[in-house]
Amino acid sequence: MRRIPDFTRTTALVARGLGLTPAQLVSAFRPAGSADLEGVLALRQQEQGKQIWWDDAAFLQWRYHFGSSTQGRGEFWVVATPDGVLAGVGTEEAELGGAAGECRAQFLMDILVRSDLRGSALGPWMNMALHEHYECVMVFGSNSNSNSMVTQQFAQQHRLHTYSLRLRCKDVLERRLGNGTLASLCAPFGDLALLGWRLAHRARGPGELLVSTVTGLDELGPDFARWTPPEDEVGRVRSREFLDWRALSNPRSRFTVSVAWRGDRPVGYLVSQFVPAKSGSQWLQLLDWNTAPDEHESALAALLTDAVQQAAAANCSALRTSVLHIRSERVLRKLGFVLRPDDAAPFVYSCKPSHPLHALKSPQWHITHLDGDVDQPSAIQMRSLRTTQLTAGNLPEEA
Amino acid sequence: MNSQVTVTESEVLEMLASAFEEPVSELRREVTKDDVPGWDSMGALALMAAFDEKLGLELTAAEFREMQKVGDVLDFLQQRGALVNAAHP
Repeated sequence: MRRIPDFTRTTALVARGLGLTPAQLVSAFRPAGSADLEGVLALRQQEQGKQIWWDDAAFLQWRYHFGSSTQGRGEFWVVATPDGVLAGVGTEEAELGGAAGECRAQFLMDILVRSDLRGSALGPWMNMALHEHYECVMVFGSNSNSNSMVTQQFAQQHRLHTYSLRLRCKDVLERRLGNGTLASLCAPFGDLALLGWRLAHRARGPGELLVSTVTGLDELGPDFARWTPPEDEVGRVRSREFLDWRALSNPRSRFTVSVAWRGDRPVGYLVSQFVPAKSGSQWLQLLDWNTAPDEHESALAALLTDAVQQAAAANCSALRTSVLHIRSERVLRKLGFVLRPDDAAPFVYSCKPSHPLHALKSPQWHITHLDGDVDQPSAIQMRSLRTTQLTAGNLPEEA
Repeated sequence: MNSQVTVTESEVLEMLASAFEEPVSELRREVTKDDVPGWDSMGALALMAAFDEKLGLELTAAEFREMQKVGDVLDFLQQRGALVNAAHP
């Protein structure tokens, strides 16, 4: 393992490289206010412009406070000097529950450094500074720029598991055989085999649960989704307010929320999105779910079965999900979802000794894709985006 | 500013191996940063700290970015008087 200096030493090294004293660097790192929005937008456009297909001003003010007490769910921290905004990183406060009791953690995201300052170690320094400031910091996912920071700056390391359930095989056959005609000939047989697989794994048991899609959550009551994780699990406490914010009010992406009902009692929900793929097909991404504790297997099975039907009706090639949750993964496998060993988003965190999570040896986590900050355009959004903004090269791989 | 301390090429390669988490046997002059997964922001920090601690040398962000391959690191140290030629100690 490489020797990384501690925060004090790193502050001295990074500050020197920026022409600042250590004290100046520390005081330059602060939550962004409304006056910083323009500088942050300009920096993001300059450094990430080609990847930004959304209204970034609306997105930033949806996600972060920027000095307001009524918007956002976290701070966007900036390193700001008279030279402008040099770098930034976002936080999202999460309410945790279950084995750790009620406590809070900060998910880190949206880290960026001005390109002429790459090599200054400002990114790792900002991570360290947030570790100093907050009791518990977490990260979901990484890219080539952040892989090292994620694996080496956080004490607890986990990886989510990616599962897929294939509905059609023509695109995969085309890729593997390299022959469209042959693929077209073989595909019907492959699709029949896939159907057989699904029938062999279809849910059995209580059929009294109904599933419906909802466009708003108000009518579901204030306690909807607020199901506390079991005592041996740790996860974000979902709430109607969080779901409404994350799934239905996100200016960057459009999601669908399905609810499972036993009579007139909601017993589970699932968030999903139709995602376009390079081959021209689409798949159904399952982004998040939660269930009433006494209905976990039946509610999740009903929601997944409904999702499969929706995906088949929409001619999807597959369903796909990333999750870290033993109980849910058991249900996924029962219904025929297959683990993909090559895809594994990291979930990492570090807590100070004073934080309740620190004492837990091996907590059973419930983490889903929605705990991260990566959003893809939905299939509908893709159709309205200009082709110059997103080329086939920017689309995700086929499931 | 020149270094008051000198190191051999093999000692530099050990420093790089530690900073970039790459086996020293994989580091040769012509190896580029694209071939070394650990040649990133964390690698920059580790190398910055190593040069400062062991050689009394400051490594700026611009200087790190200019280093495209292992040979560039060796040349940088050569120019700062920190690299001793093993044939002429």
